[in-house]
Amino acid sequence: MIGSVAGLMAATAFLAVLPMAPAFIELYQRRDTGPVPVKNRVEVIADLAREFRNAIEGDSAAIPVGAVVHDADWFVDPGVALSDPIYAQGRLVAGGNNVFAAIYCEKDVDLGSNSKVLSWLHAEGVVMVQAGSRVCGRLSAGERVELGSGCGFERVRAPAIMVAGGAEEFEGEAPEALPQPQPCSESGEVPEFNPAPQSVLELVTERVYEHQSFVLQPRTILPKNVVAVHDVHLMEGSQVTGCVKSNRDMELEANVQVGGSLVSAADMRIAPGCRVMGPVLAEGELFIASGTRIGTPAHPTSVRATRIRVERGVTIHGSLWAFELGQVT
Amino acid sequence: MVRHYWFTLNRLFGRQRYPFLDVEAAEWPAVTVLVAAHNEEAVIGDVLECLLKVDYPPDRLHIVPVNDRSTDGTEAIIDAVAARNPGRITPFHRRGGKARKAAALQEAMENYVKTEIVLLFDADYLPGKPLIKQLVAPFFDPNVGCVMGRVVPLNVGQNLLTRMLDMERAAGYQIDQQARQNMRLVPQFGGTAGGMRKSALFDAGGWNTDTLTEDTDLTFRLMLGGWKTVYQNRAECYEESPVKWPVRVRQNKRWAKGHDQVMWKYTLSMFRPGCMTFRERLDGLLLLWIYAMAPALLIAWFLAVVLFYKGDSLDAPMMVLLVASFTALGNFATFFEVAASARLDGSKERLRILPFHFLGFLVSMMTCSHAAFELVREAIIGGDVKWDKTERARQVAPRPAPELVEEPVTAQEQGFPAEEPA
Repeated sequence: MIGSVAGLMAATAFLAVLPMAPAFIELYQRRDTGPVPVKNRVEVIADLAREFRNAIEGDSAAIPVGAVVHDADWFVDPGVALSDPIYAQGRLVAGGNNVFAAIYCEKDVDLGSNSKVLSWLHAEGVVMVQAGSRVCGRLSAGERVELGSGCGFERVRAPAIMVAGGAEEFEGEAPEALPQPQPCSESGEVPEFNPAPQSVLELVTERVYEHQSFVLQPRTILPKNVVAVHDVHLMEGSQVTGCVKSNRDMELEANVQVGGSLVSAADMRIAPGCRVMGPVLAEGELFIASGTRIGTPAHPTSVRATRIRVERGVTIHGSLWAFELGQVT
Repeated sequence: MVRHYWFTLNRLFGRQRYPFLDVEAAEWPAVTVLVAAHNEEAVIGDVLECLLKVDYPPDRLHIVPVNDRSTDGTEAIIDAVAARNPGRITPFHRRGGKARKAAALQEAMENYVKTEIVLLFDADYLPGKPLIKQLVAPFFDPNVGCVMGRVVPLNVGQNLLTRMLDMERAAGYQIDQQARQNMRLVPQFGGTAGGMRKSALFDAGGWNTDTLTEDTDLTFRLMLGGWKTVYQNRAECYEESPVKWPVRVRQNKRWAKGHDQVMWKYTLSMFRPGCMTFRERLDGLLLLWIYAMAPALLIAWFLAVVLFYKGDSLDAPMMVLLVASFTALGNFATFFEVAASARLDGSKERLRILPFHFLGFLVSMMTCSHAAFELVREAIIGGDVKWDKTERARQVAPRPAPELVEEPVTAQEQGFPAEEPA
């Protein structure tokens, strides 16, 4: 009788503890006790491309399987598809309708029309992506990226990104330069560190907070930041010295100039001939019309949106990233 | 319960918002980094070395260690690192004045901060190379007053407590904070691994030196003033978790007490007209009252027992008990959240220790309840709110500066003792 009770109790205790068994086993075996890895490097596609080159040049055993190496200028016949990453020491010209896995080129790349790059492309010189081509993943260049009509892109970085000729074609229409904002007042002395303000974040600290939509009249200059709970509409020829934020849509009419950033929680539409100095960030769709210039060669900046449509004749200095889809229209 | 499930489902299946992710090119502003330190000789050198190596223009980055009345070797270590890096570090050795981190930060802000953007780190943090840019990028939005990064425990494998805290932290950031960011609610500023706009801080009245959680206090004041707090999930920074239960209990009690102070202070303000949306008000209120759940549950349990022994029918006490238990724990919402965060982090085996979180829940419930009752007692009979410094587990021993490069660092490389045997 006692044995039965004891057995029953033991069985019950065993069954009660059984669900905890994996916990105790893991506690004892310590199979997963490392810290969660954090992003600890700055990811630049040029670095990745150079690592690829170093792997090829430094140790033959480290060559990625199937890597293609070319030590002179290389013309790839139209329609050829190469499924292995390419390292080209000379200029690379693709005839058109080609498919590449990845390309690193020490000089220029001319990607013929209707070609496709599946992973990444970096050239130390100029990358020309001809009409109808598509570069998936990252695309960067040491000097310039030129995107032709109908091109698709995701993440582009270069000192100058010129879309179908760039904004230079429209420079005649460009408005006058932005007025220089005055540094905000500061008090106290810290002799060790007092750099001259150079970012718009330091130069403009006052803001206009609009509880509804914000509209800036044509050819008006506003030397402040702007925050609108609803839409923002900057009318033709107006200028904002600071940064602009809309919690809904944002629209810039023609020839608007913004000294700081543009941030929209929804869609953003930039009309022809605008100039923006700071980052342009839209959580919805971003449309950039002809003749617009974002950033300068001396002050590169970032353009980010879920979807980006860019018209011909746009120049961006810095980086351009469409999280889902970028298209030259 | 609904909140936990909603947040978790949002993270698993909803649209994710990373509007400021990897803004790699911009005209970066000058930034001051304040490192709060009170008797931190074990860790202060590491954080300074890490900050000197970050990817940010050196002439735009100013490091100010705020040595708050330390009595150990903190001052000497700071001075040595500053001497090796002339022009990069300006030490602020605070000899007296009001105790608490907020008072020290307020003094530093008034006398040492010349820049519009200020970042904050505790002395036990190990910022990685891309962190500063990730934290500064959201300030290009003129609506943003405060930015919070993700805190990741480094000394995970030391014992059961550190393993549990690692998972709790992951749930708090991976799920709660990012879901709030996704849903445009109220991400919370944690007072470290984050930053603020100086004009927003002064607009909100500066640091509140009377509260134990100046960070939560600031979150709500900024929100009431029309400023947003942004959470950057990819701005990750290693920290050191408490390794002893008493240390953890004191830390939790301090957080609970400070949070309850903020709750009493701002609950009514959330109903006043202002710049907040309806969903921000609702989430703000729920966030304010989050630590009140523990004493509420405890009181409910107590009531259930009293009603039972009072001889009432079983219906009333059972109902109280069931509702209280289900609301707080029985729905498994928190466990679901912790498990989901481990999955999002790509962790696998550590998920198995999930059942031990029941132990953590009980400890936390008792601690938070104690803090709440103590706060009520102090409000009635008076008494000063005491601030407990969190003890560090890192060894004070000469060792090479941390090389935070491509690979994740290990706890041992950072001077933590070897893992305790199981």
